[in-house]
Amino acid sequence: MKDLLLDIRGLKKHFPAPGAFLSRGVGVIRAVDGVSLQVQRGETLGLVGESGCGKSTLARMILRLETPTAGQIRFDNEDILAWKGSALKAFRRKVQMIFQDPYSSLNPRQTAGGIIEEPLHIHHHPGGREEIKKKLREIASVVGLNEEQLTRYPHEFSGGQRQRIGIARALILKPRLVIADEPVSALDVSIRAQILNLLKRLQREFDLTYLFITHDLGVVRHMSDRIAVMYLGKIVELGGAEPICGAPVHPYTKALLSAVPSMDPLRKSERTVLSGEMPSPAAPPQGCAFHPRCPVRIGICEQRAPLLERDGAGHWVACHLSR
Amino acid sequence: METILEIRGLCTHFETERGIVRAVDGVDLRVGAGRTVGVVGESGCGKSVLALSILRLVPSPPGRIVGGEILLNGRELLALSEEEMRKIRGRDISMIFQEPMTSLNPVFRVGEQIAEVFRLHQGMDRRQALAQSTEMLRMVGIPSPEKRVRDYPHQLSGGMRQRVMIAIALACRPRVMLADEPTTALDVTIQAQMIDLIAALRAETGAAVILITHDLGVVAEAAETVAVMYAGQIVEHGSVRDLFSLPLHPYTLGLINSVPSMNEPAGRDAFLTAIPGVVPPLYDLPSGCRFRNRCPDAFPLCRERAPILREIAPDHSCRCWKYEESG
Ligand SMILES: Nc1ncnc2c1ncn2[C@@H]1O[C@H](COP(=O)(O)OP(=O)(O)OP(=O)(O)O)[C@@H](O)[C@H]1O
Ligand SMILES: Nc1ncnc2c1ncn2[C@@H]1O[C@H](COP(=O)(O)OP(=O)(O)OP(=O)(O)O)[C@@H](O)[C@H]1O
Ligand code: SF4
Ligand SMILES: [Mg+2]
Ligand SMILES: [Mg+2]
Repeated sequence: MKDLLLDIRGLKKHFPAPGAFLSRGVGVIRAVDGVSLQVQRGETLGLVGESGCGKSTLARMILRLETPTAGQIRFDNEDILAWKGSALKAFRRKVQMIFQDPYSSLNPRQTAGGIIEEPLHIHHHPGGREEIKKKLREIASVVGLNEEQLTRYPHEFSGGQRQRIGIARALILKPRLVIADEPVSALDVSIRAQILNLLKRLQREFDLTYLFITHDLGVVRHMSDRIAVMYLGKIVELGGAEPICGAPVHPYTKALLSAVPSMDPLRKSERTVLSGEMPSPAAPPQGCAFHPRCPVRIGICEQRAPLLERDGAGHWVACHLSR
Repeated sequence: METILEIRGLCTHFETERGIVRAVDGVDLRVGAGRTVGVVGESGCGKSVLALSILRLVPSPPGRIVGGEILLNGRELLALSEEEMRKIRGRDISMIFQEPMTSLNPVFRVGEQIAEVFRLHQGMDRRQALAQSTEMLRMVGIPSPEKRVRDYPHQLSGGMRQRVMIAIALACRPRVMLADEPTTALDVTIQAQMIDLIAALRAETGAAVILITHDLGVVAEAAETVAVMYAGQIVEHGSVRDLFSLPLHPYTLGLINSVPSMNEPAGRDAFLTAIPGVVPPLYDLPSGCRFRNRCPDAFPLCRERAPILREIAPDHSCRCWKYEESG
């Protein structure tokens, strides 16, 4: 692991569950429940999983917007959870976020230019007015916004253009790590393709490292070098994008992939339709959290939680059947 | 195939400050019993207005159906009184919306909301209607329906609420079901459950389904025929098989190419063939072909005259000058 940028170990976030202790003596929502992940410099790690499995909570902990209940986060080999004050502020320049909803994440009273350059002011960029404007123009042209557009307000832009504003804002500080949380989910397919192409191009140009969060398997496969599949607060499978999508091992990964509707009418998939829904993280099932929905479960699955174990080079699976 | 619903030359426009929004502009569509036609297209191309027009629920003003015919088993709906139309809604034609939380009433138990349909359209008494509601919940696959009828919408998950919506839509065994993005807010695993559920119920009740979505994969899985809409018009129409294996319209091809493939590895250097630009505002359409300023194949004629929807191959039609020239 010579070029490790982000190293997460045993990360947990338990939220208090209002009233839950009355019913089952649990009292916590296990939003993230023991996640370990490594992100290499320059790679794209995709994080997929159904709604509520803990993806955004994990991202918020990395950004230090949420304090972990347990675990470690090391960035560039330093323990970021210990950081306060100016060290924390310096860290925040290096890690930026692109949000899902371009509509609600931009200040409606600021011009596009004001929104994009704001991080430079927050972080007291040493350059003068002229230099800030120069940086603004540079980044705007990279994401495909022209100078006239920089004087306009968010409501005057289409969804795709608003996402370009969000991307420019995230990139103006030249961050090391970009966390993109469902960055294209709110966009139409044609605009989605434009933004995905832009993100790939920017990665090459600025040598970016991406943590790419989505519930869209096609998008994650297209964007990622490696993929982590999350279920109910835990990673259930982790590996290269091709092995994960081409030869998935975990029954949940298999079911997710087979549920993706295919455009190829000649290859109408024989789908494994999972029954039921992901249980509440306030009351996760005993044993393997996936066992109530698992089509191939065996006796032990109900009793013991499987560990995330190696299943080949760089491939990790948490399933009793995988060994 | 027995045609249940037939739409001819439908035009629904909105009069706005900026000009006339031609949300639906000359749409022809027909669906047969037990069949599903998919309507796909990007945001704002007129899919929801089409569905609302069929139910005559377009907000007016500013909207108005300015032309065309909507025939339900040969009966012209646009000629009916509002009173007669009210009887048709929910009984003969019903609709499933994208966001169940906004279309379910938060202060009533879900059982009562289904029962309401039975009371309204079938004159059942309260007890009968509630018993029937429990049956409907069972039919759409909600576990322990006897208990769930007493739940309020917020006590249900997103997937279960969508099942309740489907139960309401199917309560009177309508002849036509309009499903407007019924799976868009759901995870793929729940989406797959819904696609299967709608298919099973369609087979059982013989309803004709119009499935509106922007997800090409969903139409390919759930429909037999597809209409691709762009800026208020159908630009391509054909069987799922023909349209996806041999797309004719440059817009259809662009949409298909915009979606990352699930079958091939991508890798660092794989870029998508995106459609440049955005959908033009419907009150300020380009002259000639509405797609021409985004079209990779545009030639001078496209600027001058608007192409018409024409059959290019058997049961496969397309609105594009390319095929006029060569054929
Ligand atoms: N502040 C909070 N207090 C209590 N519970 C929370 C809080 N934030 C998140 N949760 C819960 O933690 C779980 C994980 O939420 P999270 O937002 O991380 O999921 P997600 O994977 O990002 O889902 P989505 O795909 O819907 O964005 C959910 O059950 C959520 O309700
Ligand atoms: N009440 C209204 N007043 C004015 N214009 C309207 C009104 N309702 C819809 N429109 C316009 O009609 C056009 C078609 O809208 P419609 O809702 O049918 O699009 P859609 O294809 O369903 O899009 P989406 O995928 O976003 O749901 C849009 O340009 C929209 O702005
Ligand atoms: S551990 Fe057991 S229940 Fe869990 S996924 Fe594997 S086989 Fe299924
Ligand atoms: Mg999230
Ligand atoms: Mg709509």
